Amino acid sequence: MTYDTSRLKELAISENGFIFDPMSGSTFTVNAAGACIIGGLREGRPRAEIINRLRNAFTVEHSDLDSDLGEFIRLLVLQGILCPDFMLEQYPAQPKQES
Amino acid sequence: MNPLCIGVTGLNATDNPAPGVGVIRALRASALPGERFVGLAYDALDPGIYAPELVRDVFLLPYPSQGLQPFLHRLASIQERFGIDVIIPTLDAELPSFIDAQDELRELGIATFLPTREQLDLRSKGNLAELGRRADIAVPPTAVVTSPAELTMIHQRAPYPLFVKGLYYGATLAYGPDEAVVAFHKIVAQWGLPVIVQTQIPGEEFNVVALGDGMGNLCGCVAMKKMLITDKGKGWAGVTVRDPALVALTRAFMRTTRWRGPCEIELIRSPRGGYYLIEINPRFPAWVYLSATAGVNLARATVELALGRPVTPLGDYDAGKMFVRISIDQPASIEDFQRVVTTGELVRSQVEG
Repeated sequence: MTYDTSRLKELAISENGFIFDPMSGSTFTVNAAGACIIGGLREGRPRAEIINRLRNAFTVEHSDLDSDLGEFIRLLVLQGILCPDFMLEQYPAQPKQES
Repeated sequence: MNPLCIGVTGLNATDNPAPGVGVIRALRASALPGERFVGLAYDALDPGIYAPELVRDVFLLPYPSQGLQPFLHRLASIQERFGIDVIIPTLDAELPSFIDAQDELRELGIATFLPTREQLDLRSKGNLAELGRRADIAVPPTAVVTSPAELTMIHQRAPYPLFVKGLYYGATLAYGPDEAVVAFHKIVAQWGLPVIVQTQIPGEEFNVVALGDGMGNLCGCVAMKKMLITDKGKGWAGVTVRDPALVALTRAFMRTTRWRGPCEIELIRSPRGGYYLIEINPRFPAWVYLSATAGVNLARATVELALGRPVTPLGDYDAGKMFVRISIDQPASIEDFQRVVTTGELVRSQVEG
């Protein structure tokens, strides 16, 4: 599954997590985990890979990364950075059926 | 090519600043060696008069309400001594005088680049809804009223909360008929009839500064989101944004009106998406210097167009350029103030023999 990353690629992101959306003029700050997610989304990575990146980069204990990612995506939709019908395929990714 | 002498009006720089200071700063940012600037002010305490690094020579003009002849006479006498090539007027109230006087000014050797009287009327608050229909730009529900009795049923045409606005200036938010009637009388006492009521659209405020070539084309524009707004509704900080919808909307305005000269388009972006046109000012905004810092110097392009020089459409601009307005206490000498009050001018340069 691929998704449109053009809007995400327009974002200006500084090293310290400050984000400027040149289309809306809005500014945000995200922590390292948020920056990791946005980085993955900008590259068009699938849900599973973004979750693996989070797992590898941060110490995660009893955390439901899948729902955390979903919540973060919901915030991006609310801010107009992702379109309202944006979907990442569910984790774990379903194997593709051979036709 | 001889260095130009450019006159700019509107040197007020209070918390509701006139655009003159911003225009001069933009022109200075692109000035050729030897270029001169003349400030044209209406009040001896206009702060820009006392900033010699901005403008060295300043003249008081008679208020437009005193009639066209005193206005022209004054400009002619300044012209005789200073040889002004171009004037950029920046105030709503003086625009009709400059438009009416542009032929005489041309004969004096002073070029301008202004909208027509008809264009001025097209974007007036009373005609905004019609303009929106013609240009296919959304406008909040708006109605023109001439008596307080009309306000009793106004919610059928423009739901509350709504702004009660003067034709030229002033806006008061009203949540119901009682407040609307009070606001109506206040506006009428200050600005006369008619009064415009306009439903408040919640959302973020965006402004576009633009320049039209008078043939329906957009020479250039810069869009800005207000980041900080004063109690008078003025942007105290802002950031340039690049939304294709804002540029398309500006092009539609230019195409529909064949706008000639600078303007500022004020918009609200609804949280549900889409822009609503709130107002169009027929001159540069006070924040116009931001356009120069973003890479599109619209003030300079206006000078070129006034002189009849070709201007290729100005390119893209930088998004993310910010301005934050500051208040400073400008040191001034009582001698300078005395000269302005008694002679109506402050000439610091050595232009005169």
